[in-house]
Amino acid sequence: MTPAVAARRRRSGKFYLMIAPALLLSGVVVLIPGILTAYAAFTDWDGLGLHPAWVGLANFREIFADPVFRHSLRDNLVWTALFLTIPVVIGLLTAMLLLRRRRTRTVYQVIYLIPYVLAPITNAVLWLNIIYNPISGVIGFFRNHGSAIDNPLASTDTALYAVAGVDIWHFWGFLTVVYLAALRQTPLDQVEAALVEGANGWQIFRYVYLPSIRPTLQLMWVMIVIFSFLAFDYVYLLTQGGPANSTEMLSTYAYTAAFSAFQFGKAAAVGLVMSGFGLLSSFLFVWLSRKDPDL
Amino acid sequence: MNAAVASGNFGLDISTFFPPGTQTALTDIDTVWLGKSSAAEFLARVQTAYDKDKASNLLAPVPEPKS
Repeated sequence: MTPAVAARRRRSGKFYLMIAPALLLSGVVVLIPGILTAYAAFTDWDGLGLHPAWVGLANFREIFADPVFRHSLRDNLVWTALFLTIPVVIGLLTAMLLLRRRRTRTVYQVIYLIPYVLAPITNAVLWLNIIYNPISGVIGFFRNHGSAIDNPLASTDTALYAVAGVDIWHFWGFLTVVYLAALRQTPLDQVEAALVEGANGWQIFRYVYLPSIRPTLQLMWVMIVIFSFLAFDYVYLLTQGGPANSTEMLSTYAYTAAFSAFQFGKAAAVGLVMSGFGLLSSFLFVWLSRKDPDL
Repeated sequence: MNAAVASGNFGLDISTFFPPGTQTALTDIDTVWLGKSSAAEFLARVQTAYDKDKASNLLAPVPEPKS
């Protein structure tokens, strides 16, 4: 072994040692439970026994034959579509408006971020009692004044959108802050050049700002897809998957299977399906990153 | 407690035990109330859950009454 090779090996050994704590932590907290969950998906584990029986693909056959599971899959897809559009549009629009407000945008950002930093239970209770309550909330106010409006959480047709509305309300401020930070990185000389060329507001946004923040947009899209398939807190706090399974998501379905029916094997199978969607979006992100070196 | 019962201060509580899978299936009764499934479909789902719980030996043992 030449001295150069030995030195390189010493150096790389040092690097391996430096990443070891993070790797160890990931292994213990993520990898091992992940492998155990994947294994549990093929067993009839009830969460208590130490020797679950191997059932092969029975859990997967059972969930795919269950109309509630298929409904929850559909709800997750609707949820993803809503989150990929509505908060993104609101966030972009607000960020563009704040871009010109040099002195006051910090205050606006803090105000917009308040719902995001509040605990989900606080937001859920606020909406349940102040907005959606059919007696004392905003809905109740309209009902008392002759409107036939009902609590949207109580109808199977509107419950999913009512829950998504609360989650979007708490989320879009975060997107505004992220997009504004990205927009501020756009080189000013490009914006000025476009202005000199006679571009209007829309053209500057479309041909200068948008290409400039494309990596951020793509990253947030991938993150939104991952978050959407993990969505649990607001659904569980507001409706617990009801009424009549109309807001059932993969996460609430898995939670009920695990902690109400004690069918941890079945819940693990649902968890694997959820992870599959997250994995798909991660692959998409890696593929986009390789295509675009800025990402 | 004996004194309370002897003076007539007692009541009756009727409760039913269902194994966890069956209990979870029963909570979906709102699907019938809201017209999302028929009573027969709902009961078939509960029966399936019950059969599965029974096969897994999750039913509470019922002791023979002493004569």
